[in-house]
Parts: sequence; C-alpha cells; structure tokens
Amino acid sequence: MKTVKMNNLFAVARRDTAPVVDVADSVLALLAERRPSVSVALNRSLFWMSMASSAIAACIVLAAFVTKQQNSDAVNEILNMVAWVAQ
Amino acid sequence: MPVHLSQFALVCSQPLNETVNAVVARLFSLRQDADSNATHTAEFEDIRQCKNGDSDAYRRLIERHQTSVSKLLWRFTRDHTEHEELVQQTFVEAWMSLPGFRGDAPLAHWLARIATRVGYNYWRHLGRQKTTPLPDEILEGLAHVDAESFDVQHAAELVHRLLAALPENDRLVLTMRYLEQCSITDTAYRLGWTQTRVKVQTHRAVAKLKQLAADRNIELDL
Repeated sequence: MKTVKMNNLFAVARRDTAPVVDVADSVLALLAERRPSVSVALNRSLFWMSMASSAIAACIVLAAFVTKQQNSDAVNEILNMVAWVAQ
Repeated sequence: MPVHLSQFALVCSQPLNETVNAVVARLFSLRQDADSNATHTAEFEDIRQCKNGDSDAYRRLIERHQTSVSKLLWRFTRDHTEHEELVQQTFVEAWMSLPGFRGDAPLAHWLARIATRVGYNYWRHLGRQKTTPLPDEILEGLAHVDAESFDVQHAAELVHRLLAALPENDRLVLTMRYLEQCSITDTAYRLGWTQTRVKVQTHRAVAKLKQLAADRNIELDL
C-alpha cells in the first residue's frame, strides 16, 4: 500500500497564490443598484400599509353610518328632550 | 600590549552592541506598534463613515482587505470568474451586515467569517446541482508522485479535487484546519460551531478521507 504524506501536500498547496482581483468598483456599483431597490421595497410596504389602513378606515365609517342609522331615532329623541329642557 | 587593548575594546564593545541592538529592536517594535495603531484608527474611522453610508470609505476597506478575502475564497473554487463573484458577494454581504459590526473582533476576522459562509453556501449550491465523485486519476496521481516534488498549483488543484469528494461540512473543516491553518478556536469562530463540534467533525472528515484513499490501496498519512 502506497503511503502519501498529506501534510506535505497541504503544505505545498498552501503556497498557492490566489488570482489578483479588484472588486471595489463592481461592489460599489452593485450596492448602488441595490439602494433604489431598497427604497422600492420600502415604498411598496408603505403602499400596502396605507391600503390596509384605508380599508380599516372604510369599515369604521361604514359601521358608524350603520350605527347612526340604527340609533338615529333614539338620538333625536334625546336631542329633542335636551332642547325642551333647555327652553 | 596593543593586542591586549584591542581585546579589551572588543570585550567592552560586545555588551554595548547588544544594548544598541536591543534599543534598535525596541524602537522598531514601537514604530510597528504606532503604524499598527494608525492603521486601526484609520480602519475604525472608515467603518464609522461606512455606517453613515459613505461609499468612499467602503472602497478603502475593500481595497485594504480584498487580497486576504480573495486568498481565502480561492480555497473554495478554482474558477476565476466564480472566485471573483464570491469575493464581490462577500463584500456586498459585509456592507449589508456592517451596521451590526460591533468591533469586538478585528474587521479582517469578521470578513473572513463572512467569506467562509459565502464559500460554504457556494459549495452547498454546487452540491445540490451535482455530486463530485473522486476521480480515480486523482488518487492514482497521488500514489505515483512524491508530494514534496509537486508543483504548487498542481498540489492545490489536487487537494481541491480531493476534498471535493467529501460532504460540505467535512470539506469545510479540513479546509479551515489544514489549508487555512486555523486553530480549533479560530475554526469554531469562523464556522459558528462549538470547539467540540470542530474536533469531532475534523476527526470524522480525516477518517472519511483516509477511507476514500484506502479503498484504492493508498494510505494517507495525516
């Protein structure tokens, strides 16, 4: 059985040099591209939040209208009584 | 008599030389410390500016650290294009994570940790696409060539392909321990593992590598 000294092989492999890279420009360009996308995502989330709050507000208005319709007679009676007492 | 005087001068000059050497060494060390402190100060200032969104400061950080990041990621791929993309991705992820950088560890260590994660994810992505069986010629090549006489690039290529036959976790821990020469503590920090896990994983990975070779009648001395 042949024996291979892996530590020697690793030692030689460690001396391997990486290719020279200069990624500063490309990284900054990528980041510049991503920045608008962040604001777009932010705008999108704000849009959905405003839609949700508008829907809730519409429901509240509807509920208030229905409640007013249901109780208008009682309210009018109270108002009349207040007016009569005030006279 | 002149001979005696010269010997006396020689004997006297020896402690003086040692003192001068010690003073010079001390001055040199102080100068190195001062340079190192200046670099750290500049780096902290750049980090602070980066957190405020200054891209010029980030450019300086990239230029300062891209060589070490490139060297580390060269362990993860031998393809030039993919290697450059991984370096880019590391710095993009670093920018995203920079607000959370507290400065507990030097920036270089923090970047190495991000780069290791980027490289590991790259391997996992490759692993999903295909498995890399160990080609017979690799081990046969190992069996016939004396490791000390290997060409550096050939050795690096051979090690890369040899480790590619292992699962990602085994490959990762062997890369850290034997190629990057990280201690158990450093490996644990970089991988976010416990030290016990690093030790166990290293032991298992070495056993698997030896078994792969043993299947082809080769004994790996590791």
